Amino acid sequence: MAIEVRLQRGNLREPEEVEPALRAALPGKYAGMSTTPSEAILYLIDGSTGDDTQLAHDTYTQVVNAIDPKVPPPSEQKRLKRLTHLQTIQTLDFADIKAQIDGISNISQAKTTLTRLARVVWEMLALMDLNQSDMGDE
Amino acid sequence: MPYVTPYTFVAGDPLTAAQLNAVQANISYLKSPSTGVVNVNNASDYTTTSTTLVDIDAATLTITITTYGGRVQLGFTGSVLSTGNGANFDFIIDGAQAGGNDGLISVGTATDGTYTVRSANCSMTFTTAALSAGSHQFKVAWKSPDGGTIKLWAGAGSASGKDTHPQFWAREV
Repeated sequence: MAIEVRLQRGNLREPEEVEPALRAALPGKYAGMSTTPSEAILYLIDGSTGDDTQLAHDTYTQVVNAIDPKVPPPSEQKRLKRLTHLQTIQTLDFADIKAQIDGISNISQAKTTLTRLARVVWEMLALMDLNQSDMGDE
Repeated sequence: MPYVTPYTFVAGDPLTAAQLNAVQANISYLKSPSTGVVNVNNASDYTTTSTTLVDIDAATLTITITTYGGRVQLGFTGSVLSTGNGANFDFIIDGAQAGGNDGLISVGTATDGTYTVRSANCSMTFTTAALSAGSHQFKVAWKSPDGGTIKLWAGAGSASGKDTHPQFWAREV
């Protein structure tokens, strides 16, 4: 059984807001957390010391107290990023691109079209990277 | 009144009020056996990143009932989403897992990491062995198989179409 550190939930909206700090502060000892409407429960592995418990408590309190409720939580920030990338990709019209390619008659036009395509590829890569970081190993 | 072993009448026995009342009490118990029900409607949803089974909410999703030697049926209804690769659920009966190992059910979820895509049904039922007469405690536990955040929608209405309300019940049978 893990050691539980029970705290008032405070301003925490999502575990992602505090987990990076807890993992960094307690490497190899922090084992995850749960939230209920009123509580945050931090799990430390067996063998963790009183100092570890205090550090978990202090880290949580420090991070949560610094949360600005006006800033969207991490999941909302990811959703907005994803939406932005998708909207850029969705502006791509295949017929339009094909017409541009067919109409290329000089280097300048070719550069413009290639730049536009490169932008789409970059947006797709950014989107894939966002998905990969969220999904874990499939 | 608890259920009691009925008196076995033999030819010539006089019917007494006590015996008939015991039959009546048994019928009453069979209609309303020991039962606990928790309906969840929270201001925020539940989450965990724990990779070992932990209580979803020891304060709320806990049922304690007094039983009289019978089996107990348990039920849980809910919807879950994960930023990782799913979630595992189990019932905890007097501190011990009902299913053992990774629990009773493993649920796959689809995610874009924002808790806004497809939720998965994480409902389950379980029938215990006959439990000794007395007080027994039942809980619902969960874990994240890969450390991703799993979220149980709990009536907070924090996303469109996700204002769903889990229910947990236990009933002696």
